[in-house]
Amino acid sequence: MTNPFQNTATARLIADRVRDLSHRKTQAEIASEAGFANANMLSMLKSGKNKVPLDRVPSLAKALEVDPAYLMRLALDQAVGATAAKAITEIFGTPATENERGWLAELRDVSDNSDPRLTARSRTALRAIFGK
Amino acid sequence: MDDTVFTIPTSPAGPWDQLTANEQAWIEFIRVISCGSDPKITPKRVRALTALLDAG
Repeated sequence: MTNPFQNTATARLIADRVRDLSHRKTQAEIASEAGFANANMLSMLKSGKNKVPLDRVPSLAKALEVDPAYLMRLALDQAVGATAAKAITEIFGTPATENERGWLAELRDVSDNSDPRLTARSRTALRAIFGK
Repeated sequence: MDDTVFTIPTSPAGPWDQLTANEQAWIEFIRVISCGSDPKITPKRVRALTALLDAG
């Protein structure tokens, strides 16, 4: 297979962000900001020919202006597969994004730190709030 | 897999294992139902969350 990571969530996210940022910076500028010596690396990531090198996640997230924890979760799936990624996050803890930390703060605030259970009714309401 | 060293970001809320089981369940459920889209905090969503929790 020539593009083993084609259509993975990581490849789609990178392609979307490069497109979204195109009015402000070029793909070559993003690649340089992320620390890739070769600007073609970004094309390879978008097409799924290459996986995101894990050591580049922080700089790539910054260049793409996405949450590093979010990109790390996607990159882990791509790097080691969903099952191994799940095992890694079970051991080290799942990286929480800035938005998730915000939701956690809201949850604590609104519930007066009562640590509410996720009930069946809560699940239904959350589907209405966040579902697609 | 390459042998690159990587660091998983933690948060001001502390490491994941310092969240309560209920908090982990809320965050994981939001991830699942939002299809991993990392939903932003909006006033409308906060109002809906407040209404949900105020209803007990």
